[in-house]
Amino acid sequence: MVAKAKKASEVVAALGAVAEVHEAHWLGDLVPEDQIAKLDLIDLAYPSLLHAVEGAPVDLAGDAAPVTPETLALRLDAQPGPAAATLATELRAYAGRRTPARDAMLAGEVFRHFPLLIDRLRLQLDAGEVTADELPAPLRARFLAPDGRLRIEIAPAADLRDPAAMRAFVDAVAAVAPGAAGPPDQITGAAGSVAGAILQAAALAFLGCALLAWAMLRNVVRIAAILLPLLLAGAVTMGASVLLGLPFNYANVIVLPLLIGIGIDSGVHFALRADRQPGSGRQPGSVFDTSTPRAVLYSALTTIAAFGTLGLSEHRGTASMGILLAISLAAAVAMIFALTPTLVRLSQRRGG
Amino acid sequence: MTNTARLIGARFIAASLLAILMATAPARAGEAAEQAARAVTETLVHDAHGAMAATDLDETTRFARLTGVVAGAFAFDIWERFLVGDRGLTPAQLDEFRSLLPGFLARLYADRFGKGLEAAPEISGTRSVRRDVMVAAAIPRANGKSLPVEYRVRAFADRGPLVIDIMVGGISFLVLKRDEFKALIDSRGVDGLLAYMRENAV
Repeated sequence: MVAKAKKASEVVAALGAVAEVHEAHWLGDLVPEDQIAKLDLIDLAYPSLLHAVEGAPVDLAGDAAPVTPETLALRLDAQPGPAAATLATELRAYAGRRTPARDAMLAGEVFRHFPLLIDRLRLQLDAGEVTADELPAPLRARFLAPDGRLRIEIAPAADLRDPAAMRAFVDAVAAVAPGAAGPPDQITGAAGSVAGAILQAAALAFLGCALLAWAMLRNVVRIAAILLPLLLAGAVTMGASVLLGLPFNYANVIVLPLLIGIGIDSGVHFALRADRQPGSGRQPGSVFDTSTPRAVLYSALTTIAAFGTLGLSEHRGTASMGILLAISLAAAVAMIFALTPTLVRLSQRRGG
Repeated sequence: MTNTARLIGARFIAASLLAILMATAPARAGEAAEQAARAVTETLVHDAHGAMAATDLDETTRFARLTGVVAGAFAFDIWERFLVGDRGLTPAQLDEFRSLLPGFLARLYADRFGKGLEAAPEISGTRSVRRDVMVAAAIPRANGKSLPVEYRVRAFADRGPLVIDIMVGGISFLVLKRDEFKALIDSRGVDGLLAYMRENAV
């Protein structure tokens, strides 16, 4: 939105040079250009058109024979091209079965729309200069705000279903018209906000879990035994999203913080039980002699099942969230089972 | 009647006359314009017929005289604007175009109206069309019939009334030539148009 017509014209001209912009127009673009020259041409043609609309035919040759299908066919014989020959053949065929009734019917069919066209032409003969004030009210209202500001409409050159193209379009327009707003700008801004928020949430979740783990274990290696599987599970989740064609979107991007918040639970149980097994220094895997692995597994399975059922949802975003969360939690449990006991054993050997 | 009454009566009559004059001014101006246009057309038609019918003169002299008649009656700037105005002619090309135009129009006039010269053309009437005046004339033809022609005359502030178009049977010469010149320039270029005009000018 701009306040002055001059500014609108300048912005539209600047946007026209942007590769990402297909076209930009404002209210002034709806007013025809070169009206004086065009009206001069209409004025020039006015008597001829008026004669065509209202005048009587004139015999210019002075000795014109009556026009019949045969005479027309004779004229067409002298014209090049197959179309003329075809029409001449059709005219001769019609001449053979011609009757006044058929002539009248043919005239009615051929000239059915002539009265409307002639009336329209007669109106157009009186065309005058068009100004922005004379444009239809709905059209003006689309480009002119009640407070006098002018709206510039900007169309993209690329298909905005491609997020990268949308981002490029928004950036290119913002470079020329910083105040431009609309659905692409809103979508891009919202996507940025959501992505930032999710990253922030994931980072805070990770940090919070790390602090809690430190409060409980006071050992870097054991903290790593809990957190490293989650990081690896996150990497697996991202790989799965690519393999399964489930890109992160507004609905399922929350999987990452949920993975940390829910997945750490299993790791904490595993690490604490492994740490408190009697006879430190024993072979790794002794935690598997306890009931903890089964409990962790069943608990994780119920959680995975609960989230996995979301994958049956008709809402595609919710379904993708359920599938990715099930995969991420399964990966987290697998990583915990594989890595946590070993890392705890390492810390025990180091005397931690 | 007292002096006051006479004064009031005189003022009333003067005001009435003034109102009548003001109301009829446009109509009278229109009539004056039509008469001026008719006069210009009569001169053109009469002098052109005289030039074409002067069998005592050779063809070159007749066409030179006709060119002079055309040059005095036509508004060549209007013809130039509509025939080639937006086609990007160079100054040299424009100069040659302007020098060829009177002779080209004279040839065109002779080709269309140079037959059946035994009888002189007659002006049959005038009518106002927008800001111009259409002067109707009947040009005698060789077969004894008359060709209905209308001369479109526009009044210029600095030059008076001049012919800006000729219409035969509702067909405008200026529109026809504009289309023809456009096609020539598109196919052969401006130089091709000028060559065509050289071939078809007197």
